[in-house]
Amino acid sequence: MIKKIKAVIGRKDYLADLLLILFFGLHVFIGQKSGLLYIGGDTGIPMTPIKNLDLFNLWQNHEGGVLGLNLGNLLQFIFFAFFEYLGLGLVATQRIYIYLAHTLAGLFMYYLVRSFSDSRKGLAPLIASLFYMFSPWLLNYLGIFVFLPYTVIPLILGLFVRGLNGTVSFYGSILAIVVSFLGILINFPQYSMFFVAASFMFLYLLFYLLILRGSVSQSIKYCLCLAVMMALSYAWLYLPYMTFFTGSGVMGELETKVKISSSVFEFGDFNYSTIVHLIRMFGAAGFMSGGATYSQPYLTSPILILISYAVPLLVFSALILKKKSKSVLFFSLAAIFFIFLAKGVNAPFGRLHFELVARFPIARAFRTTWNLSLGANIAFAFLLGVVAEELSKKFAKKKVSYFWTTTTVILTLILINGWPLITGSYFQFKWNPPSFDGVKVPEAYFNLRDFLSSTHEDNRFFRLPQSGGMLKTNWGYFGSDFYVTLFSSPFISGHPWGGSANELIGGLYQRITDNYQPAEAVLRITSLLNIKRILVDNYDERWGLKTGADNYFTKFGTLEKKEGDLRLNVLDENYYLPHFYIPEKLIFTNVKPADFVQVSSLPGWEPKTAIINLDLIGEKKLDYFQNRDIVVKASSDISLEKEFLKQKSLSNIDVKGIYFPPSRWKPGTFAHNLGLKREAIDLSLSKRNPEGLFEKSLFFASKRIFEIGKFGEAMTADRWGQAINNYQEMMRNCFAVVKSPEIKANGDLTINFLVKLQTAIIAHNQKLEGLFPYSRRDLQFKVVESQMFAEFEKEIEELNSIPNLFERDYTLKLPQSGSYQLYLKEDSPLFENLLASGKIKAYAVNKAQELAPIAGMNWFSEGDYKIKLITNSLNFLSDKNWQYDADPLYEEDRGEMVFHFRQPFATDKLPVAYQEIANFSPQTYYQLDFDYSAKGGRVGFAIIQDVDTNPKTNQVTPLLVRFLPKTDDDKFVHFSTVFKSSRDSREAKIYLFTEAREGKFDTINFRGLRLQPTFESLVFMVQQEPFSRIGESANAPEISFQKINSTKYKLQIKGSEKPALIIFSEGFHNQWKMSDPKRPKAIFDHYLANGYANSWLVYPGEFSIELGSQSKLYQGIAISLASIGIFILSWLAKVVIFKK
Amino acid sequence: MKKFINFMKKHRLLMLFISALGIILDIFAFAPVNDFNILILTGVLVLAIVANEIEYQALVLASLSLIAVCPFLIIFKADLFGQKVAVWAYIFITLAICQRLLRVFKKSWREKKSI
Repeated sequence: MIKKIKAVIGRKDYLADLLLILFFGLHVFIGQKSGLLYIGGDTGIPMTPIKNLDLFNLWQNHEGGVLGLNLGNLLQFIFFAFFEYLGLGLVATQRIYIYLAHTLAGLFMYYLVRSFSDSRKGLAPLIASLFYMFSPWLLNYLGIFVFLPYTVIPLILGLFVRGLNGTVSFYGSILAIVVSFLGILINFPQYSMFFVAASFMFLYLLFYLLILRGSVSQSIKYCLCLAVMMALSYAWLYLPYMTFFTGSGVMGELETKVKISSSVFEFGDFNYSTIVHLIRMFGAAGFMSGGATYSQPYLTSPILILISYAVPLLVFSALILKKKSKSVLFFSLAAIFFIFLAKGVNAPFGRLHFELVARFPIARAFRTTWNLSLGANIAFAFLLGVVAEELSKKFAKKKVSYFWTTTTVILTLILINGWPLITGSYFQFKWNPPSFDGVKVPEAYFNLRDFLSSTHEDNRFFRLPQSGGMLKTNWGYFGSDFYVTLFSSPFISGHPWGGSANELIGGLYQRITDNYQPAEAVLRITSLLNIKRILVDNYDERWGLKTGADNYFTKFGTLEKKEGDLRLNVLDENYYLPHFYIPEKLIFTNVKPADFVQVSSLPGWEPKTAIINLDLIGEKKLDYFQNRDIVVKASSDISLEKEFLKQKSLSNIDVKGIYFPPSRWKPGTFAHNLGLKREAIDLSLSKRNPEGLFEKSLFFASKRIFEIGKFGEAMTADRWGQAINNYQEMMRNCFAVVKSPEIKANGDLTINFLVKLQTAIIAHNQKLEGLFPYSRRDLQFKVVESQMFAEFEKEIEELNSIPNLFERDYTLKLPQSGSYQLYLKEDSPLFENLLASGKIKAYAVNKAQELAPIAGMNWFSEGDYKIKLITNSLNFLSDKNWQYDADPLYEEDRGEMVFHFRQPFATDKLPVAYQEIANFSPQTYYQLDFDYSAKGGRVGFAIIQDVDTNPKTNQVTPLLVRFLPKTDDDKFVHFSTVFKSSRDSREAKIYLFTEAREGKFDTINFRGLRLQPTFESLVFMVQQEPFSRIGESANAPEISFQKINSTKYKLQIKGSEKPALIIFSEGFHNQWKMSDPKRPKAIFDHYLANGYANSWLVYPGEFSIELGSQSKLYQGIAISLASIGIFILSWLAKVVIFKK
Repeated sequence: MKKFINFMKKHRLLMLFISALGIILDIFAFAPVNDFNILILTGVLVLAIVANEIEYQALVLASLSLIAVCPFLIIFKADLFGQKVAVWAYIFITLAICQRLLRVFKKSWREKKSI
């Protein structure tokens, strides 16, 4: 062995190359400023390295308890912890880390190239390494400054090639590959980089067996051994996660987070990762869409574009320059293979990829495919090295100095192509502040972290504002939420990858943003999450709720610590529940966790309350619990919010957005008929996918319109008729989809489709009308078309019509008979007034549809009920309150109030008619109705609130402005819409106006103007038991617990003879097991409590609560260490005993 | 089969012409990249390559020529044509590699048999 090392060191060319690579690696220090960290985007580093090793526990207490997926960061975390142990600061450690990652990438590429006999000597390994170190591929990864798979994959391939060829030790190569895979783990739970490495190795294996004619038995032995060792050595990684590969685990997360519908637009790389860009090693969506400040020249500068295309030209010329080389053939094959994978849903054959990802959840890791071009990048590096060597040799034959000239030209090309890597500007992307040089994390964070650690308390702090997984601070940071590695104390910051508490936490942040009242109701929910402190992070640039936080948390807590712009408030004892507690009151409800605040704002809440979902506990068990309330929320088919959004979307229609796909073939021709057949096949394939059917039908309908426009005058009457029929069929498809129950069930999709459909109908109609003057022959079609569009518009009108919002039906199911109290809740203050004055009344509806008023306490038997909520007819506009700035403006006509506008709406004047809306209330939905006739010009109205005027600029942004289409003759047309007043508005005015037409103003008539409030109205039926505090009785249970680590707790319950429900405020998972050491076989009923937490029904005693998966981790570690140990021992035995 | 091979050989130049024309039309005449067109044209191209016994170097050269056109199309904002040219460059290089692999495979197979 020593001889071998000496022989290697003795070769000067080898050493010089290595030194050169180490030297070039120093480029990472260019542009780096002292004392600054390079964090941002998706680049995170362990901010408290040694303490961060705790993150390897499979359960993390933050965000209400989440599955820890940090095992993949093993290499990085250990690296940082090691240097912290040595006393090095974060900045210095990160510099070393970046340098090593970049330089080792070059060295490993060097190793890979030298693994092939026909490229072992000469320039090839060095040029390949330098290309790899300065590859534009790296530039595409925005905000990721170190990508370990990039570093280690060439090493893995080199080891595999040598191991298979037998040029390195069988044992040594396998062991080194196993260790090198640690670098790929950072990609976990995604596995695209595993796939790149494994498929590259598999490709080489095939090549080795089929082309190089390697020994089959030797290859099988090697690969089998490698596979077994990989499986055993990584048992610590996959064993603990096996249990999570279920609906609630990693795959579940992937499936829910990465929903695939019919649209290729959901694939991030669609239209970016195309072959034309992939062959020059570009194609990442972020890079191609200008996310990087340095990407623009690559997309626009002719010189850089030419240089970037010189790379594939040189690379593939290797097939001619070294045509007999089998390694060139292999890497060319690898290049085209990985380019094909990386293009994903883009042409050609993108549909194959789409179907694969859409149909198989396990393939969803490949929704973003660009990064698979890493395999092609490795192949390009090899081929470029070979070409550089061949060209240099060829030119050197003519003149020796040409060797250096050629080398210099290729090197210059490589360096220019990766220029931002040299200058250090690849740290900058457009979301960073201008001239970003790295960041300095304010000391306040570290001081607060130390303070929180020093409390040694077992509770969480709640961060305001919500991070949403990304932070943007006023000290220049923009990137992923760094609280995870900065704070060792548990916290909640609203990260979207939160566990089962995601919904509850999301709802909580939403209420705080909406300034929900009463504030106590919000604090009751924070208590369910084991929150003791509130951290207000005023460094957050998106923070717009400073006063809101004061409303909530200073009123009910005290300032504990202030560090820089960070403020820590500790909450009053009344609003804090420990990690384990026995609730004094249980509320059984059907309310979703996001809306628990609705439950906590009802009367009857006690400080130690727990909320249990009604469906999760059987009816018999319901009677078992003492001190319990039942809260049943009634549901309504109508959502005002959706209605409001629908009206808002429909008022912002832009026909310019409609695309008319060009068609080259005249209807009736063979090619056109072939196209129609293909369309029919396409549509029949989409029958099970309504979204796809809608999009495609609309696309083909627009195509028909284009065809009529292009060939219309030359088309025969039959062809025209066929085109119109086909158009009609396509549009009917769209209507059928919109009316289908599955689309109706999805409110957002319905709105989206309705808007698209309405826009398309208007645009198609306009296009046909404006095409060309209809000749006599075409008149019949004009009639047909007009009728068709009239029908479509009527159907759209029906779909858009507002349902009756003043007589709303609610349904509910009462789980058991008893006395129930009806509660009606609404965010709007106006609601309370109307309810008190009897303007809003609730009725129970029986089977004969008879109404019986409900008030106070009523007895109901178990079963299904229908409740009708009727709002009395109100009008907040008065015919007598209109104010004008010119006259005559209106007159009474046949007893109806009819407005006649003869003045224009001018921006420099007050609108012609306005009035203040009576009883205007914030956060309230209103329905506006009126009839109008405007044969001469457009009519409009606006609602302007007091808060719509910017006090600094005096600019007015009305809450609502609408222009309405002209009407035929004097016929009145009905119009109605729904809108919602702003949160802080106090008063508002309605303005009616008209527009000038060629300097003349026609009469515009309004009548029956009516503005009525309408309410979302939450309806609850509550059954309350008289409350007796368990804690005050003699047999009140006492609870004490000890936290061993985040996956293990000891619990003791004393003082009660009856079983108690224990709430454990960590995310619910079936891997949380409660055990009684004295009764190892005992099984405890495990429930979901508080919408996210675990609870067990237990008798007093001593218990242990453990996360089952953590013991799997320990088992996995034991298996992995044992197998590696045995492998090393057998290697030693072979070397020492058998002397092989 | 023999008839088909004879037919191919007899009309080899015609097939070459058809595939060349087809590719040009696909790039400049048809709307966005169409998988069906590509599949048919690639089939015709393969037949033309076999019938005319075109060497793989020629295919590589064709591919390199198409790649060389790409930057100009990108510079002149003809991205759609650029994309289609790149797709054909990719198909040519793929065919070249496949052809070379087949030859090397056959050769190594023969060598192994003779041993």
